[in-house]
Amino acid sequence: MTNSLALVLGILVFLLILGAPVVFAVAAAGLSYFFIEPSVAGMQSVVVHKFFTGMDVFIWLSIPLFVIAGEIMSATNMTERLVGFSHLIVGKFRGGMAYVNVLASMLFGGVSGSALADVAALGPVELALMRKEGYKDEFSAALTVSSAIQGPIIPPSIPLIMFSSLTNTSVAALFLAGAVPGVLLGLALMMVVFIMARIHNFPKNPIENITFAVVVKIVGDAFWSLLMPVIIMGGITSGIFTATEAAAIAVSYAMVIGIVAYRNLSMKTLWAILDRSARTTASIYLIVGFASVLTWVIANERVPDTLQTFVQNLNIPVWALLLMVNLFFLFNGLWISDSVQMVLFAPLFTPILAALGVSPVQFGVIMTMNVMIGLMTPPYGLALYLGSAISGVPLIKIIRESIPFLIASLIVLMLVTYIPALTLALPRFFGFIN
Amino acid sequence: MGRASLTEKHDMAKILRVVDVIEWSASALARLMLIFVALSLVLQVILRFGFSFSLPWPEEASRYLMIWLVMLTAPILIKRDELVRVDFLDAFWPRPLLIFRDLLFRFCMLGLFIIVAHEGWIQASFAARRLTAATQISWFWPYLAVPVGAVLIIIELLAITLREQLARQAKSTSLSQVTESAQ
Repeated sequence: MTNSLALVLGILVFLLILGAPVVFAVAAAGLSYFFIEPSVAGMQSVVVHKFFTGMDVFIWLSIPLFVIAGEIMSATNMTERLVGFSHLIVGKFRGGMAYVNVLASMLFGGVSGSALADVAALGPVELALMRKEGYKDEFSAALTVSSAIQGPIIPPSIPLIMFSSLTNTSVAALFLAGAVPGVLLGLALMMVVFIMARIHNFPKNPIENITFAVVVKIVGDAFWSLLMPVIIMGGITSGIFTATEAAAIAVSYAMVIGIVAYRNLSMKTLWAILDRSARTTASIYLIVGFASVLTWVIANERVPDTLQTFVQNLNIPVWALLLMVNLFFLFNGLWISDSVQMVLFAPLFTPILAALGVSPVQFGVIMTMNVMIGLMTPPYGLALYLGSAISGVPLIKIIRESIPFLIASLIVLMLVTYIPALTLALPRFFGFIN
Repeated sequence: MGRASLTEKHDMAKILRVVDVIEWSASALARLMLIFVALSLVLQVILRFGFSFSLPWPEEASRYLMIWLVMLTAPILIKRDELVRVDFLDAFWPRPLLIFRDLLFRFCMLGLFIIVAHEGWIQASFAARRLTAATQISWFWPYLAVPVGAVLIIIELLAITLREQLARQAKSTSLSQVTESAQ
């Protein structure tokens, strides 16, 4: 590592720890290279060029569009309909409402690609229902936060879209690869609920006075929401449209459903949704744009090649390297956000692991799971903070209650890391990878 | 409070109102761009799937519009303090130092975006000679988003400082009024 690069990375870490906006930290670190390194002195125009081209990527367009689709579905009371449907399916078991929480997040994951959207949209509904049935708020909040991280693993997924673009990996393959691990994560959480329901003697929560007409109504209510992931994944896997076009279709579908079928989407709501989506998009794009400058700096310093040679010379077995990478991401998850991790490390680690035989498709899912688990690990666990804000439960109580769910998530992460078939079977079946 | 000070305050408030109007217009434009992007991509799918025909421009236009959208929305993120930060260590900072730190960050960001605006304008002017592949417009227009966005960010950073100044003045005025009435 040259002195210039060491200084650039030092500036980045120093500014991040100091609490600077990530955009500023990344941009300042990238820009400083052109003042420090003599061989590129005066080439500041590269900053603007890389910033521009970093954002000028077609697949990135799907991020705001999936955000809008998810927001519209939430605004049209889709969350209540999904919770109602989940209640019908799993409410009758002991700990029924806890199962409902997990299943609803799994279904919502097929519509929204964001864990925080899951906590914000589903959280209040789930917490109110669980409180009514006598569950402790800290348990409900912990489960809401833990189940929300399934969302971005089950397609569509914003982190997987980011990974796809940053590493030139097929987004369709990544979406398919995330499906099994996402469901597996949900099942693992349900297993924890199963055990806890017996220990704490949770109640059964079947829908009262259920008739065939009620069942038809609940299924009918949720039908349009449940159809959305089918359209998205069906369209992508059949080759009718690209992932970005799928996102645009999802927006149109959600709008039509909101206006025509559910009749509760107003122009005022839509205008507010567009504002939120534009802001979410801008915050991601800005980081990605300036991180492209940093990626250029890293490439100019030949870091990936050096790191690859270094790792190969170490002769570490792949399983140990994967373990180290997982621990590295989990540690970073304690203090930096999911999108920042993705932008900084996906382009760096993917070629190294690919050279050692780890498929980028599998690694994309592994990395996504890691950064999602980072959302529920303190001190920088955004999902935890959001869960605390919507439930009013102190953070420390949620953290304590979420430990069993965290352990279950880590077990699934290990399974996904060491059993490639869990991620690669579906994309292989649909012909997206060999 | 003197007449000069009152006029100064009035002028500052007027400037801030103009900044608010600029931001609102930028935000409205960004939202319309988002709608346009979604509709043009849907149109593309309908034409391709239904009529075996593709338009050459939606993909390219959407990419450029999205960059414009980002640069028009960036000042709002700064205004609402919505930029992602590693903020869990903030609790350990003494309050006065935290205020000084944020002020320092703001001035550093100001410097950064002045460079970005300057370099962005050079880049846009340089790119003006070439045409984009599908839409056949000058590259100047897509690249212009960078200096325009940077200038809007600079305006917002200055406006935040101005807003804080006004708030401080209002606070000291109300404090002196309370002291006067107590006396």
